[in-house]
Amino acid sequence: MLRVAVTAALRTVAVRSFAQMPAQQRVFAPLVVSAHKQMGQIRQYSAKAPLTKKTLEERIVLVLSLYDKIDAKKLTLDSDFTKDLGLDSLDHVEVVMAIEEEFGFEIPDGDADRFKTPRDIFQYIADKEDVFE
Amino acid sequence: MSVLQSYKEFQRLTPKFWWDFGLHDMPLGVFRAVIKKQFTKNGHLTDVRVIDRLVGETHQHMKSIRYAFYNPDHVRNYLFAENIEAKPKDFLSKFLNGKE
Repeated sequence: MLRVAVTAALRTVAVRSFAQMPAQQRVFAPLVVSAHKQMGQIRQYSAKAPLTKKTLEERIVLVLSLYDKIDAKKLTLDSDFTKDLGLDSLDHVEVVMAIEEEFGFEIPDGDADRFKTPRDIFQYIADKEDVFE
Repeated sequence: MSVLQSYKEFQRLTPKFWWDFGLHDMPLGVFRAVIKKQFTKNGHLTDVRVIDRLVGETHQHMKSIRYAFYNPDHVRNYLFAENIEAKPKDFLSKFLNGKE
C-alpha cells in the first residue's frame, strides 16, 4: 500500500514539475520510472530473506533483548523464561507475539506453550522455516 | 488457556485501541501494561465458570472497542477511575455527603 501511495505521490509531483517546465526543455523522458528506481525499496511482498542458523539466532536474541521486561544481560539461549528471566504467562504470550511478528508466521498456542527457553524457539523456527546450515 | 488466547487477541487490538480512543498521552508500552493489569487483577480466580464468564466479557469488550461503542471518557473512567470521586471514609465526610 505504502509503495503504491508513494509512487502516486511521486507521479503527481513529476507531472506538476513537468507542466511548469519551459516548452523547449520538455524532453519526453520517463520521469516517474527514474524516480521509482532511485527509491530503493526495503520490504516487498515477496519471499522472506533466507535464514541461516547464525542469523536466526541473532534475530531471536535481538527480539528478546528488545522486549522491555527481559534483562538483556541475563539473556542467553538457555535461560529459562519463567525461572531465569522472571516472565509470567502473559509476558510469555507477548514474547511469542513479538517472535511471530519478526518471522512473519503464526505460532499456534499449543506449540507456543512448549517454549521454555530461547533455544526451544530457535529449534521450532529452524524446523518450520527449514534452516539447516 | 482461553485466557491466554484472549490476552493475545487483546494485545493485538491494543495499538488500535490506544490510537482510536485518544490515549496517546501515555506511551503504548505503558498502556499495554495497563491492559495487562486488568488481566492480572483477576489472577486469583480458580472457578472455571467465573473465568469463562470473564473471558466472554473480554470478548464483548473487544467487540465494543472495535466498533467504537465506547467513548474515550468511559474508557478512562473504567481503566483509571479518573472522574470518579473517592468514597467517603470517616463519619464527618459521610455526613457532609449526605450518606448517613
